[in-house]
Amino acid sequence: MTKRFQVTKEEDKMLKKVFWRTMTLSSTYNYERMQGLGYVYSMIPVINEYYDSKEDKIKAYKRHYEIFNTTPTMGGFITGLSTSMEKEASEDEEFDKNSINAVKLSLMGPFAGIGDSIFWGTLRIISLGLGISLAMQGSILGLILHLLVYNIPSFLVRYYGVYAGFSLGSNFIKKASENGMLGQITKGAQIVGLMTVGAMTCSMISFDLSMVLNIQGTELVVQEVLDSIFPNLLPLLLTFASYKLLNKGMKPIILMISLMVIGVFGKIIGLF
Amino acid sequence: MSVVQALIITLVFWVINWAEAWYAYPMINTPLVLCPVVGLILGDPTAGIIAGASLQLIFLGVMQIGGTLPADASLGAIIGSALAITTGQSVETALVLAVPVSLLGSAFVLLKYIINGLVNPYVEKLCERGDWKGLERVHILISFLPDAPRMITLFVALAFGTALTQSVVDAIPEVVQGGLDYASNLMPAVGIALLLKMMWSTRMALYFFLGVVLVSYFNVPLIAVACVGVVLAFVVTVENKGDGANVSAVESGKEAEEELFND
Repeated sequence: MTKRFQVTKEEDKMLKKVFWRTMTLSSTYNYERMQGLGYVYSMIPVINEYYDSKEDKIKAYKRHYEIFNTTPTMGGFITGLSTSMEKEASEDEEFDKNSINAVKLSLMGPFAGIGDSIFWGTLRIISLGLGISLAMQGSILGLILHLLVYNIPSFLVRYYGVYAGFSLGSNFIKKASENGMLGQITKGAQIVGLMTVGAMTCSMISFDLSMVLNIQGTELVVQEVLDSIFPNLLPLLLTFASYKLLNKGMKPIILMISLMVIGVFGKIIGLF
Repeated sequence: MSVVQALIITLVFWVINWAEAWYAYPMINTPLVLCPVVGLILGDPTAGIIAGASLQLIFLGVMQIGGTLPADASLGAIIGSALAITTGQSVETALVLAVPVSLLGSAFVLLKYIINGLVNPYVEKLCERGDWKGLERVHILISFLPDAPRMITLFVALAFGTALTQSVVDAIPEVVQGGLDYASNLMPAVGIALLLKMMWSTRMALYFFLGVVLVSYFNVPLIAVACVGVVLAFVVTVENKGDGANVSAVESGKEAEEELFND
């Protein structure tokens, strides 16, 4: 990687440390500083490398112990960028050190947005969906597939994010958002995510009625009628009803308990 | 379940739970992974895998973004699957136990965040003193110690909950068990609805229905739906972007990437 991103051997060593430490961002999350402690922890190798006087170091520790919150997988872009800014600040007396935090704060929101929709919203759903469909049959492969599908792309982003942030600098982010790339990535992730969720609605909820109506001597199997209208009609309706109720502010746990009650009640009256 | 097994499950869970946050969420602290581990420790990995799949489906939409407090799916899944496996019960028992436990568990997560915050004044002092070794020590300790109340509760529930669970399960009439079993197939709807709440937009609804149609009418397996999705995402995003005059869609996409990384 040293070649591609044009970093020196020492910088490479330091960036590897930053990579390992950036992953821990959320480990000490709290409501006041959020990932603040994690951020200082990530920057310690950088601060100790670039600053000589104790005063400067203390200023830098304090600078990074401020409120910060983003998707840890995407955090590398920002810690990498902070690293390059700290490097500049240590070399250039005139450098406005306030800009380091200003940049951090301006990036954490957009990066959390992209990170949450790509990693939590899409990749996680796909990997878990694939894992579940194999695990349902009792196969250990489900678990393995889930871990690989999720972690290979995530690892690449975690690792190269630090290098990209460091060597591409703040221009990189500007460029990426100017040519609409970040928006495109988010949109692409949304497409894959929604298709997978649509597929899961039909393949993973089983909602069949066993009720048979008797109309003037003819037996009418309700489920067959429903299937001829649209297969998986009931799972879809159930999902949209749940969606509406959640949007109205119903707690998920209440909804789950209601479904348990409905299940028992339906069995008693012979609907299911 | 012996006390030793309960202890092992608790410690393994503590490690997984710590590693999840320490390694930027590799998605190991999920029912799909936790239940097979519990199954392995209790000597029935297959039961663990199957329970994991069902519980994962139900808790699919539970995720923690931006410090919100969802249900504690992990704790629910561990206690639910462990007690169901020891008492020889099926998935619906795991489910009945997991749902309320996950609700109680979220209180422990809140407690952990509060404990994490208690060290803030001390961390400020460490910064003031320039004691970076101290900062590292605090970060490492706080990454796992505040979970102690949750872990102790888990151990107690596992070590002493079996008999109680057995008697409760025995008391449940058959029709109720059948109903709960049926409900366990309905409950993924809640998880999916939670996902939709995050992802849904009218403009993108089309793609949701494409997934629905592919499965309902063509019986396409999930992995194939995801592949079609990836292709479609490329077509839609790259097509919109490319000028189409002299470069093909794929080429222009490649170029954008190269441009980004070669800067």
